[in-house]
Order: sequence, then structure tokens, then C-alpha cells
Amino acid sequence: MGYVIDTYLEELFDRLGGTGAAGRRALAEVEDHLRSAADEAIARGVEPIEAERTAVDRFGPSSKIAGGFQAVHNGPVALLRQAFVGCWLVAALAFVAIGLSGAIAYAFGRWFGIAFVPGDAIGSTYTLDRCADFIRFHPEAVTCAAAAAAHHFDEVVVTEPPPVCSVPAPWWRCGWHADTRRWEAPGGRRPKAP
Amino acid sequence: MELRGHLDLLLLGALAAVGPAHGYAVITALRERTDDVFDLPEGTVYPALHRLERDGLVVSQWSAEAARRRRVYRLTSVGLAALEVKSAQWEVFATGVQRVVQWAT
Repeated sequence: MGYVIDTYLEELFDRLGGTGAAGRRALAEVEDHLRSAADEAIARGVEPIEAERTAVDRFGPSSKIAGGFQAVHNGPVALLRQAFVGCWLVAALAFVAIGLSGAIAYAFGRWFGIAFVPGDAIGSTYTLDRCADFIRFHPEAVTCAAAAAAHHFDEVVVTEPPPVCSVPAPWWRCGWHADTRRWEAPGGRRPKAP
Repeated sequence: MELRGHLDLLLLGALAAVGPAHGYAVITALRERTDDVFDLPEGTVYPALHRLERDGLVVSQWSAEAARRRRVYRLTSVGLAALEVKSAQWEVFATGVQRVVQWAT
């Protein structure tokens, strides 16, 4: 047999995310239909590839068929799960953005000096109390401006990785499990967890 | 011919006529019975069958009689009642259309 039906089934599988067991059943029914139609055509003397192509064409576009199944089987729980996965993705991207900005700031600080990174304008002045705060955080600094720059650098580049990393990791894992529920395949095939 | 709105009636009617059948057999029976009048994408039949099952009009189970596993659908008593209602509605609709067509020609 050719690849046309297999390709179609893979497309349909991708589009049936969120339908769970009903989606697996639908996939099995569709495969039975397509292979039955192709077998009949082959028995009439049609070339196997052409038989598969005709069966798939008569069946209709996978997007339309999957949309029909989604409409039947995607209840409120599935919609809630999709909403959760969407929120999780936005939050995960936010964590990545924060991490990247910190990494870039750290690299700039290494290349151009920490005074390059903080946002205070050149010539900014600080009150004595504020200066004392900066010096308390960075007693090694020789001037108030240097202590302020070091303190601002700390604020931009997160210097305590464990607490920061501990939030995204379970967050990622939690969202991964919710998302991969959409991709459970016949035979238990499932993407590898990170 | 456009089938929108009438697919459920056709599926219930086909299942009532041929008895318990899998999707491919239902489609084949519809095609043969209507001399290919309805050019429906065959795949649209399956979501419709799933919807009918969700609504309790048909029930289904796997059958291993063929070389491949097949999902066989059977009309329920609720489905039979729905078929009668939809058939009556169709009669009214078709009669009305027929009268207008005859009037115009």
C-alpha cells in the first residue's frame, strides 16, 4: 500500500487534539473506511496509489472532518483545558523572556561593565540614605555611583538562580502534562517529556 | 446535491433500512440507493454518526467480524422516534416545494 492514506491519517491525528478516546476511535473508523474504499478500488483494477488518492479525496479535507469531530466531542472540560494550556504557554513565554533579558543584561555587563546595564541617567544623584542602602548591598564599591550601578545590575540580572528556576520548572512540567493529553495516540504513543 | 440539514435524516433512514451497519456500509448504501445523487464528502458522515450517538439516537460497538475492527451503529428506540418526526417534517417540506415547482412550470 502507498503513503496517501497514512499521510491523511497523520494529518487527521494532529487535528484531533483534545478529543481523547473519542478521537482515537474516530481515527480507527476513518482508517477502516479509507482502507476499505481503497481495497475495493484495487479489486476493480485501480492502481493502489490512485485508489488511495481517490478514497482520500472522496472522504474530504482532514481539517473539515476533524472540525466535525471536535464540534461533537469538545465539551466544556476540553475547552477549559485548552484555555489552561493557552495561559500556561503565555506564562512560560514570559518566563523565557525574563530569563533571556537577564542573560543579555549579564552578557552586556560582562562585556561593557556593569555601569552599562543599569537604567539611571548619567549624572543622577542619590540621597545620603539611598546611598547608604546601596553601600550596604555592595560594601566593596568605592563610590556611591558604583554601588548604585552594582545594585541596579543585580536587579536586572537575577543573581539568585535557585528560586527563579524553581518556578518555571514545575510550571513547565504541569503545562506539559495538560498539553500532552491532547496528543495521546493509538498504542499509547506520546511525545517525550522534557 | 446539498445535504445540509438533512444528513441526520438520511443516516437514520439508512440505518433503519439496512439494520446495524458500520459507517462505510451506510455510505455505500446511501450512494447506491440514491444513484449517487448526493455528492457528500464521505468523511462528514462519521462526525454526524458520533453526534447521533451522543444524542442517544444510535448506539455503536466494535465488531471484529471483518479483517479490520469496525464500529457498527444501530438505531435506538429514541432514534426510531426521531426518524418518524424528521420524516414527517421532510414530507411537509418536500410537499411544499413540490407544489411551488408545479405551480411555476
